[in-house]
Amino acid sequence: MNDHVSEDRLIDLAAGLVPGGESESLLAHLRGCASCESRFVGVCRDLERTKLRTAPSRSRLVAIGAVAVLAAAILVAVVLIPILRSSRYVDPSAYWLPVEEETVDLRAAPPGVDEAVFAEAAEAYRRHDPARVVALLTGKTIPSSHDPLKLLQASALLKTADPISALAVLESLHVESLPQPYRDRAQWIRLGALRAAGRDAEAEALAADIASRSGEFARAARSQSGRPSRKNPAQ
Amino acid sequence: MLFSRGVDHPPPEAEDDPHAHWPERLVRLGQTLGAAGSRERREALGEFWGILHLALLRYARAHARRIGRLSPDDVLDIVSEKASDLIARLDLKEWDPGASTPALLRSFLSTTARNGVVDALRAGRREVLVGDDLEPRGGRGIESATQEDAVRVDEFVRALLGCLAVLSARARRAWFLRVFYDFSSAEIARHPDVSTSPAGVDAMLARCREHVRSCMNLKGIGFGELPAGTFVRLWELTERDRAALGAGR
Repeated sequence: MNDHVSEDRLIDLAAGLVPGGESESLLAHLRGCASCESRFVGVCRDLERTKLRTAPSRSRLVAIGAVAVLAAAILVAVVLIPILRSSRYVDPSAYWLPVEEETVDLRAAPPGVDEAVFAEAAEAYRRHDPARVVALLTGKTIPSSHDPLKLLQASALLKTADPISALAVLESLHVESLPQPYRDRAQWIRLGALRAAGRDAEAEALAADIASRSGEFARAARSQSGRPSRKNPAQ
Repeated sequence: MLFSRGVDHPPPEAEDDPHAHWPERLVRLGQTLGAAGSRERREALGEFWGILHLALLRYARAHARRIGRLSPDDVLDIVSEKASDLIARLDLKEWDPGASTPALLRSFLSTTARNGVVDALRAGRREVLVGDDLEPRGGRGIESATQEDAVRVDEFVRALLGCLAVLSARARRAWFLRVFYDFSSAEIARHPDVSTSPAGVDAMLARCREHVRSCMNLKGIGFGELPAGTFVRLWELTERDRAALGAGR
């Protein structure tokens, strides 16, 4: 036991690079040499530590997954949602009014108004059930306190292939007098109804007007300009 | 000191051993990495990373001992930085160890480690006697020669292996990492052979300790201290034979 095992040989041994017979003589030395054994422990420890640096832990994998999900969410938020929104806006008949953002204030309803029906209609619209909205509101007199509900009704009528009725509801709304953002939204539904009704000249003029403003639908209206009308198949 | 047995000779200086296999292995792995498919490449890269790390550590410690004083943590940081940099250069094909010779590769790694040490010293890192790091940090419960006097090491190891055999491979691995390498629970949890939470490691180790203690007591062998030579014997029987202990994966 005159010669200690070199550090190079300890590395070889720990890394499994020493052939059987040769390793036996090294191990025989280590078994009897506390100094070499303790250095060998150190090399083995170092080797094990390298595994910690290369192998992702379960929690790290979870963290990586969370980052990936976050990145995907950001991608959806930054890229996909605007694309989806723009495509939705490009087609007025596919546009859904944001009901959550504008609650229908039934508290201001005059006496005798069937509040429950109006609330149910708003809820049906929120569920994207235009046929139910139309069924609930057809024949009902909607007071001016519920103008936002008329917008929902017009949108639902457009979606159920009744652009003429949609235009009539919008007419009663006096769109130009509505505050923003209701005015822009009403105009957008009106544009869809005009196109669906085959009133291309009026639609073109309205699209140009919306495009010339800086409202919510200006960009979508610009892409609408010059577009051929989409006749309602029901007509 | 980790072991009780007296040191007959001072540890050797970290001079190049002409019989070392690892430089040639690194060159071969470098050649494999250039031509391997993704799976082979991943396996080769894992082995390459481990040996590269050990080689850089060995040189960095030797240079630090000669030219300055660095804490063990600083040396580890230097090596991690250099190893990561080399792997990045390997990926970018800016470094081709497969085109080198074992001697040139040794020289290159030694220079790389030396540069890291010099840069760290220039940057004024904390000065701590590095020689301490050449001796492994204290392992738990591995101390006394009294055990060795009472029970022959082989008998002790056989009894210990019999007790460890009842544990799952994962639990044995966790126990080994704690007892011999002094890994923290967080480190053991991150180890690919264990892969659990630190709390899970603590619970696992508590069960292991209790089991090993009572099992050894049943065999009439106290388990307060591990006699010198235990690690090598266990390593032979477990680390080398992955089927026994380290093959939890």
